[in-house]
Amino acid sequence: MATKVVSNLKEAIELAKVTDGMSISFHHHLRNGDHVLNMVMDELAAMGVKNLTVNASAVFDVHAPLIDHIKNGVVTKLCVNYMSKGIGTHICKGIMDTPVEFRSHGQRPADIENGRTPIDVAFIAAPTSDTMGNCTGKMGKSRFGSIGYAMADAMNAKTVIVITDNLVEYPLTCASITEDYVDYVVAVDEIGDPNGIMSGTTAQTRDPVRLRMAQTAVKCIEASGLLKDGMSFQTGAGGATMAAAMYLKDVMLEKGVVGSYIVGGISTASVDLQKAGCFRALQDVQSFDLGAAADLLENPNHIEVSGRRYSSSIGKSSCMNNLDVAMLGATEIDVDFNVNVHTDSNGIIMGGSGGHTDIAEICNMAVVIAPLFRNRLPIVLDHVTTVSTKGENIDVLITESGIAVNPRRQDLKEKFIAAGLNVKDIHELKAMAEKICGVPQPAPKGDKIVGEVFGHWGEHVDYIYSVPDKE
Amino acid sequence: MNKIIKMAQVGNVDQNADCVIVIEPSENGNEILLESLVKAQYGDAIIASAQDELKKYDITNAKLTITDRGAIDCVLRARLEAVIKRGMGV
Repeated sequence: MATKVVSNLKEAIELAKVTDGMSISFHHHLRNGDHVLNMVMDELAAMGVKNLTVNASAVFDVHAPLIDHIKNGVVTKLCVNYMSKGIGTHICKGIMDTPVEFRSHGQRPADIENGRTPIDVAFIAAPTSDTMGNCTGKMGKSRFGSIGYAMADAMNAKTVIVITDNLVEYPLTCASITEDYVDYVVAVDEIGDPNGIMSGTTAQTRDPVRLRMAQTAVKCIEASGLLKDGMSFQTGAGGATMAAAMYLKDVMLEKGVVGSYIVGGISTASVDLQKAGCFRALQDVQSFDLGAAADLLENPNHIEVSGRRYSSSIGKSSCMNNLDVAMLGATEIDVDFNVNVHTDSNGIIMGGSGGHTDIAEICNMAVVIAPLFRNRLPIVLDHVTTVSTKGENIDVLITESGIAVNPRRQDLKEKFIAAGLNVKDIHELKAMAEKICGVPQPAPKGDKIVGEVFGHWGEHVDYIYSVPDKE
Repeated sequence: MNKIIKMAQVGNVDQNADCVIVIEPSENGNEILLESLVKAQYGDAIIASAQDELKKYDITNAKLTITDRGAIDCVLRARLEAVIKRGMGV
């Protein structure tokens, strides 16, 4: 019987002929438990390959060895959709000559496909694969659920290497990525650490501020007129947005409303809503917890979608086209409703757009939920440190002390006021926070460009600058 | 003039939006050491509040070590008041 299994990672890399200057790719469904990026980069460094572009859907603190590979010239360019603070702190010191390119989850597959960021060799971390490379994230000891972000890599890279810790007999009957895209299969002991891959269960928040914001969010959905049969919904993994899902369930059951789908990162809270009959389907590009991953395997109405189908502008449509309501987070928002999710208030990279930019661009009502201030830092500023998502695409800001509506959405503002909601001007929310916190002094900014942010259509949105060393 | 006569500590180490303050007698007048999540944005304001509280209690021999995790000013001042009184042996 034919097989694509090679004896080890080194052999696969040699067969793939990875050479200086190539572009290699990774996906981040193993999150902070991922072993694959590090094992591949260590192997490449040992082989003496230099000047690589690493295109990873996200990098986390577990990928700290990447910093040495950058300093040693093994890696000279990074393309990511998200970067955690442990890595971002080093990048902001200006260790790279080429700025990091930040894309959205939708624009990454588009640029891989259209040739702007072509991939030479894709490394697919697969919790289960057969001997010909049919693989999935839905089963195996390192299961993470949806493998959606890796699909563009598999379909477009010149060479595709599947790395698995659960090699099974051909054919795997529930493959997410199929053999027609795969060149080589490598079996290793562990592709990830289950403790870092996902939380077992996501505890419901008890924080009264978050709960209050969540209740307000559901009232806004009701007042908007969008709460009706066929409504679609996107929510993140944050405490307030998860709590909003819980309150939404109560209202939908009480009113007998059946929505069409929940899309995005899918959590156990989303699964509960679907199981309760509030939504007909779940469209899952990334499963946030084990409950969601288990449901993806068992539930025919819980479907796995690629990053392209999720939110890309390159397809003929995406899950975004029919999206009514989205709950989004923000590190900062400014009086023009521009949102920062890339850098903290000191300018240090600690995140990225993920789907934020795509969702806000297309969906009918994009709602940002954020407390008036966090750790003394007001959420509303005159100018955000980094523009991740342009203000023209954000419709509503919900804080515990009031709701601000983008002046572009007078229709929503009128509906909210008619429903008796606590609508305030965004400048008023800024003033309320400053009265409690004081006016923040701007953090010092370096003069080297260390990152560039691209938007939903691939357009330039903003630059990220180095951060000067502390005195 | 009031004196800081002993070392004292207030606050929460592992809590965001709070701070830990240690006070001890100093032989070089008032000294304030600050570490803060929001030093760039509010460092000057935090030092000013600390100096103001020391002045309020007429203290000139305190060494304050403030480890701040984003406490708003009223929280910071409550912590300062508590640590000064403890340091004075009140």
